Amino acid sequence: MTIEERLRATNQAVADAMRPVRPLELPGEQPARVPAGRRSRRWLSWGAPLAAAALVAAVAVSLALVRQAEGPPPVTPTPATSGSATPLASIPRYYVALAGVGRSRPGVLKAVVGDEQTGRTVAVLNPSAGQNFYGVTGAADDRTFVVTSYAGTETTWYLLRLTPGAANPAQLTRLPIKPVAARVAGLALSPDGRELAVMWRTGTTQANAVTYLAVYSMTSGAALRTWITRGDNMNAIGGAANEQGLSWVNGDEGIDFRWSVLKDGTGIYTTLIRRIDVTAPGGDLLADSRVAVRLPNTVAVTKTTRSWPCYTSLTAGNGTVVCGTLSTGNSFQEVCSTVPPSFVTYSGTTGKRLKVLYQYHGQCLYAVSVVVWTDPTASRVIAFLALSEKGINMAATDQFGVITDGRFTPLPKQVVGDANDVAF
Amino acid sequence: MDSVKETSAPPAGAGSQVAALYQAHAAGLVRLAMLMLGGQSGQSAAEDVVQEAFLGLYRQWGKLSDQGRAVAYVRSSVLNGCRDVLRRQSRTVPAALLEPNVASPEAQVLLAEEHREVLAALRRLPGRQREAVVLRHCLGLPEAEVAVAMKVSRGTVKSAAHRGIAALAKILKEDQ
Repeated sequence: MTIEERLRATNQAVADAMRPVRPLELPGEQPARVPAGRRSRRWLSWGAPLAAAALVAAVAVSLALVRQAEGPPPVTPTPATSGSATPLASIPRYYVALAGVGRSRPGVLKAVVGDEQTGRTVAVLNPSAGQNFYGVTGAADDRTFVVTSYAGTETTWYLLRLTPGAANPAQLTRLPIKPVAARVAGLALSPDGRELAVMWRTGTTQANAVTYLAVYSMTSGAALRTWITRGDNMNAIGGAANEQGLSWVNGDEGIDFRWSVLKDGTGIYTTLIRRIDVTAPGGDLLADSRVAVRLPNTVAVTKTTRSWPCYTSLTAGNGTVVCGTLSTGNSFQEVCSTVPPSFVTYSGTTGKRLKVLYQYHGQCLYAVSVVVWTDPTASRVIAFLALSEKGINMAATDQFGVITDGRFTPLPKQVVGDANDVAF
Repeated sequence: MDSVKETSAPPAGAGSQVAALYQAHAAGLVRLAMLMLGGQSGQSAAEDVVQEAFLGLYRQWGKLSDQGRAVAYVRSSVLNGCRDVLRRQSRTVPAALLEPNVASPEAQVLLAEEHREVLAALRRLPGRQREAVVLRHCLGLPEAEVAVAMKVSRGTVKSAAHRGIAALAKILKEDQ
């Protein structure tokens, strides 16, 4: 064996021996220095400064790859065991989750089709060689999904058709939609499954950034509509495949997207839900869309506690916006009592706050509330609530639940995957 | 009501873009750091280096002239971080102890003897040779990318990698 071969073998051995890499920890309030010395591998011993809590909350839900094996036991939201007679009725039965399951290469996500009713895995689909799945969206029929894949330079598109009970219950076929040279930041299949809305940004600087919103035909792959805006205007998009909360509204005639603008020099984000009329002429993403909801700014509630009123969002078919909050701070006794994790609706017509769908009451250090799915009237929502008491809790699988009548009912069967990589 | 200075609020953009990069590249960079550190310190120390590098990327995100080169930036930061760790260790750990038989319990559990020998041999190379060999021959990066990561010319990469391989052969032969 040559030296080069021994080096490659050692490299492979190191790769094989590695446990999953721990999640990224970034500062929030202040750029707190990560201790240079060796840290304990237990989350609990990391302490819980505001800085770490805030950013990990921001980052955690997008990190399916880097699960931490150790850590505190899961924190389950206070479950509703009585009250609503059928909290789980009328939610989609099937979901598609992107997860590293089975003998996955590190970092490679497979498309796992799950049956929430039985808890069974219906199918596991692998990305083709060199590809990696990273986004998924579903139609209203509970059978049609689109999965995005990235191969280092561009996003390609796959139709996942589900036929429960068939010999081959899930089929993946490449869509004729032209690849996009970016990872997408917004992804929404229309409820009828005929059109796919996608938002992405190209460019590497504020000067050359171009943000696109396009609607594609699922049958021909043609771009039916495209809107663009140039420059980022201190607006940052990206991250999860539907970070922008792209949603079809008003009988598929409109598309909502979240647009957070950083006030220059202040560090304060103003978040807007913008609505674009698909039937109206125009191609300017901002000039041809209107503000449906102007959400409260990021709020500093106390010196040590803060809340983001609409950290995640989806819009229901009737135009009602459902927001999930982010609560963080540096006091376990203070955070969740001061800024309770909440799911709140806003009127897309008047922009006014309508109601609190659910509010968590308990103690926590941080909490991120992700809107995963909503019914057409925002009366039934599938949500993901990640709570941490101390340190960082990544045990996500038992925190998906259905919100209805002010209650959070954990889904009875574990959902494989991460809140940002699941479509119902 | 007190106010909180919000200049470093967890952004929907920078944080998540850095997180996406982390998701895509963390494992490979941790492996790079483990190879560079010679397996002595185990994965946790390598993760510390990579976390530091991404923290630096996050802090500098708005100032990057070309965010498309973020991976090259963070890879270079990982190398710098490894240099710092090794520098600190060299000041505190006698060279005689830097042998495979005193590898951390974690490293001993993880790797077979033959691979620990290679890691130990890598550790004995001069820094520049080690970096060139790891990036070029372990990770298989093109010379141009290795040059960017090491902040040296391609010619330097070529010669350092060549000398490193020759030195490794000698060390491993001597150890047999």
